Amino acid sequence: MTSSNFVSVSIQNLVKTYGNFQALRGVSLDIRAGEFVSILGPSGSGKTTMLQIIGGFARPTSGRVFFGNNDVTLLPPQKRDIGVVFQSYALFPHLSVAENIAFPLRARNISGAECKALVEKALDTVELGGYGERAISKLSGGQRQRVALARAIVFQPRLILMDEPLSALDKNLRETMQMELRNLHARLGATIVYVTHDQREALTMSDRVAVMSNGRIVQIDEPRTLYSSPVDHFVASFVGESTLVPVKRLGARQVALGDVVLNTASDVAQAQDIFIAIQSETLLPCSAAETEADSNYIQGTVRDLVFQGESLKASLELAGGTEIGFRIPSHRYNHLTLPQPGETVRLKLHVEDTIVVPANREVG
Amino acid sequence: MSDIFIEKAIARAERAEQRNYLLLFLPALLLVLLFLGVPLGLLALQSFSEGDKFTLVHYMRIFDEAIYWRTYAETLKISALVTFLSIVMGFPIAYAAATTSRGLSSLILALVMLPFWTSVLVRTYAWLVVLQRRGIVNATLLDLGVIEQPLSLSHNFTAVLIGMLHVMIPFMVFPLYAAISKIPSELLQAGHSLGGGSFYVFRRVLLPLSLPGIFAGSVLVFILCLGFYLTPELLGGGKTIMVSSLVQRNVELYLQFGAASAVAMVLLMIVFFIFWAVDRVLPVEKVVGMR
Repeated sequence: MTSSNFVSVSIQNLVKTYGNFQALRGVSLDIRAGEFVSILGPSGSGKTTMLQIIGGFARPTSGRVFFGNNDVTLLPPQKRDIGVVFQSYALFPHLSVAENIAFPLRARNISGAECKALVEKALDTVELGGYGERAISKLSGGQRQRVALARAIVFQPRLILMDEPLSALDKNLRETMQMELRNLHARLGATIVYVTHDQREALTMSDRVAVMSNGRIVQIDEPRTLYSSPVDHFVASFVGESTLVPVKRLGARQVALGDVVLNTASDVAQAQDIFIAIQSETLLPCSAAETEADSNYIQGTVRDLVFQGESLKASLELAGGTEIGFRIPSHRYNHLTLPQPGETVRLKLHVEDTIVVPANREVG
Repeated sequence: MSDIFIEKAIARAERAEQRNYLLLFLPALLLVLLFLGVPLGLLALQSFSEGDKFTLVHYMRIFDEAIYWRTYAETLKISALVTFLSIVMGFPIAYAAATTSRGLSSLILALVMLPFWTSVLVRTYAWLVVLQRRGIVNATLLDLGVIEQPLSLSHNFTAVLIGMLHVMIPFMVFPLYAAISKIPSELLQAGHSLGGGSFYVFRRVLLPLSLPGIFAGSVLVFILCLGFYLTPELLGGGKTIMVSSLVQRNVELYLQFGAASAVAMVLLMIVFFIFWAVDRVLPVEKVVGMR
């Protein structure tokens, strides 16, 4: 799999309507060859429709899809050379592992020794060497996942398309597979379009993440940028674990959260409704006397403290009655000075982490 | 002490539960025994008796006379042909019903079921009207100039085939529909995305996964075909005789109940043999429980 067939993908102005329902309202997206792009969105945002159209399983109402310089809008799936990994894996239950992986090769009239060698190689790539003769029903979830992956890469596709392939796995396995997919992507140099509703998955693996809502791409950026500079309150609420609180604009880089004045690192949007997006892990308890130039300070009463394993989730009631959430890492140093429910605490928030976003009018 | 007590109580409760299952099973068991087992036993007895004496004469006659063998062969041939054709013709219907929208799917299945509300007798006579020398089919083809002489479509093998197929297709469509609707559509999408053309995906994915339905439908259609009487009698014009006609003639024309029983018993044995043979080649449990 050294000689790569992977191409760039260009999606231009896709619209898809089902009766009165607009699943896609003019989506454009350019993906470089070898890039890993995640399409992130809640259910009903249009991400599955996108995948169906890229895969050729559905036709757009209007718009075009290009693979490299080829217009593939009207090509049926069997002529697109895409390796698709389905949410349910879609492995053929009546075929063995090796027969499943050989399926795309036999469809391309590759058989005999060449076919066998390619299947072996694909099995090795996903670390399932020696599993060829197994029945699909005898495999674990993680192994099925790998077989689906091997089947999708064995015929040197132009693009790999993945539809929430990890959602059926348990948490630990999912995180292992995320790292493996990342490595595999780097090794193959594959163009990968990965559809998911799991922000962590998207942030972990992608070169860029496209956040979708209501049939549109709201923002497409690298994971760090997406996290630190969400374009609106929808993205801010969907990425990370944040509390959105309405604030008033005081100046170019200053907002008021109730009585508290907060400074920001970048200019605040001139919109009517603006929110501060407080990511729960950015708040740090501090002493009452502390005053640093690049920190904002918030004071409130601890209402709730829940142990969740690696961290504790607390909620803080501010003077106006607003509640915000914050997290405390669960180690002994913190446990010694843990704020108790009912206590008043002072928290600091770095100005760079003070994210103010305008409202997304479509989401409300 | 109390441990032993609770163990006994649990065992008692489980026995009671099993007893209840048996009780629920009993009515069906009695029904089958009384109305299938007993008559079949009597039939078997009758086939071995002449007057009050035990005899093999009825079976000897079947083995000796060619007309019997030819009729069995003809019956098996028609049944196999109807089964095969009903798979070929039923599959697209079942596939359409299983993959289209709910509304259209119900419509298709309702249309398939519609003939059930008409008696076989009426349907068979209707085919006679359609297929006869001056029937709709011949008249239309003659008018269009497609043919110059009327086709002989009635009172022969073709007519029997058409009539039986019409009756049998629903029995094939429903098991096929059940099997095809169980195949996740993602499997077919996967087949296509991996480069499979329509025929390739049909041959390597759809057909193998439909096998349980094909098998169930074939068993149903084949067995029902073996016992067909009315349709071949009316549409066959006396040229296509099936085993059931032999039974009827022995009873009504010659009052030979023993001979009729023997003819029926041999047919039953042939069916058992076929299923035993099929099961050897293609284990039912494996086909049906494939997934």
